[in-house]
Amino acid sequence: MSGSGEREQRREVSVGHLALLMALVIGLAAFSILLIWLSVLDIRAGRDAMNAFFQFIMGLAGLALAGKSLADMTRMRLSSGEKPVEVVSVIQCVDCGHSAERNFSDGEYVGMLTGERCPECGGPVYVARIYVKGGGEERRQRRILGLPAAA
Amino acid sequence: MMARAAWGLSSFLLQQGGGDTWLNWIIMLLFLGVMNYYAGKLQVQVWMNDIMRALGQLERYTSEAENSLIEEASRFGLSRQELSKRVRGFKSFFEIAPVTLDPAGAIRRLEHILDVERDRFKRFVRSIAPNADDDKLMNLTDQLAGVIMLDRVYRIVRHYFLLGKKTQNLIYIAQIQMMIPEILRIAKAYWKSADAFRKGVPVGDSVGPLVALRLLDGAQTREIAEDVIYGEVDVGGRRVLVVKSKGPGGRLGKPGEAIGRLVDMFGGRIRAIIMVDAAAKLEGEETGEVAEGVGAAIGDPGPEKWKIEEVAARAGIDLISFAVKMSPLEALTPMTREVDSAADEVISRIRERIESDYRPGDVVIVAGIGNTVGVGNEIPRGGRGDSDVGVRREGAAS
Ligand SMILES: [Zn+2]
Repeated sequence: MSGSGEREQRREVSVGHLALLMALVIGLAAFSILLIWLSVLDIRAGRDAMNAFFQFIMGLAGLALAGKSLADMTRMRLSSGEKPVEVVSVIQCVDCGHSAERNFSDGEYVGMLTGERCPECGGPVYVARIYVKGGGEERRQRRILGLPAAA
Repeated sequence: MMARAAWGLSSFLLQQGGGDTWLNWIIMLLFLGVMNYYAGKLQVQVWMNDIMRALGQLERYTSEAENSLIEEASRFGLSRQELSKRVRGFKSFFEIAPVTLDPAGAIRRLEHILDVERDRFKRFVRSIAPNADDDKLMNLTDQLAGVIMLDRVYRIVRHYFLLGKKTQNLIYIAQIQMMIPEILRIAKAYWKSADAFRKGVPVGDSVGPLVALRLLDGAQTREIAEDVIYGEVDVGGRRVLVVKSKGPGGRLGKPGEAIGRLVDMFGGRIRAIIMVDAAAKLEGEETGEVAEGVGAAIGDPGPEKWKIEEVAARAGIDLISFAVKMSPLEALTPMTREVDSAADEVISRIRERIESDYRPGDVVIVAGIGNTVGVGNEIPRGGRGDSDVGVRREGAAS
């Protein structure tokens, strides 16, 4: 299905949006690291332990937030990379059983004589199977469960 | 917990430092207090944003499904403007379930309501696509059902969103926010199904009819009940009556009616009713997994299931079911390869079951339950020559 909806979903995460988010995340991470570094300096110098402690905590929280945002962003990119599915018809010869796979064309159904001729024996040809290739959901779940890619 | 730990730590640090750590300490306390107060409000805001995003998505799904229907219907007679006006008028169609306070005859009343609804749908679709053939009409009807479903979901989510906004009631907002992932999953399935029905591609739910078609293996079929056909094949000397809804348009038919009539026709000779249907898998289960069980495998609102159970119980017939597992999305979108192969597995398991459990001469009904979109009624068989070509193409969707 190459529906317009697939395109719609992709538009949701535009390049500009992503770049802005990325810049913010990098800025946050840099600031957090700076805070942590300053707090370490303060503690080393024995100055104002209270302040340094808070700086340290703030820095850690900032880093965690940046990490989380980054994880969210990669997931966003993954989900937007959803490919339009490809529907195929397997056509089979009525007489000799010779079969071939090709793109589905509108109006075809399982059991329909297509009017084409078998390249092997010239017999009539019908649609034996119609299905989509891929199975992205399955593969994702197998990955989550740590199983090999194919059953 | 957090606050207490912070308290302990800060009082420890307080003893170490002097003078202006006091100020820090007070600021810290104030900060905690303010955060406590605003955390709830912030949470509500985050949830409201989630709901708003989902609402936007639902609106897109609904309008896209609607546009897809209008575009497809516009090929059969009416202009787009006229179509969009009519579809908008019909979108909020509803059905009212019969009263069950007095349960006697509720099934019959429910069936009547469903009959009227189906009829109403058919008439409406015929009025918006006057030049479409029967199979195309059924596919358009399924598309329309998807639009109505999506519109309904959108309205309900919008209702709770606005109610939550108006009342700022955390419970309203929390409830809808928690259901959003599931709602979106189902809405996505309906949205994607529009494309499948538009093109007439078999969907995951068509696996039942597909099993029936392949089991029939070219046998002659004829109509036995509304939108349901049957044919007879021989499995190791047992007579097997195969039932499926009439394809290749998206029909469900009345399999219960058909099975009831076959049982009447064959008297007490029927030993078993074997049903095949798609079933919702649990996350982590594989698509196309085949499971066997007992009972009537059919996901109708009640009447057909009831008829089958009734006739099986009355005549003491075995009621056996095969379920092909898939996700709700896979059930409504073009059939995956795994499900297509599962159909072959189901057929071999049905043959096995029939040959091991029943004697030659016994009669067994096999019913392929589900939407038969993209699945025809007969597989052309060899040795018949070319004359069949024209005859068998009559059912082709436009
Ligand atoms: Zn051939």
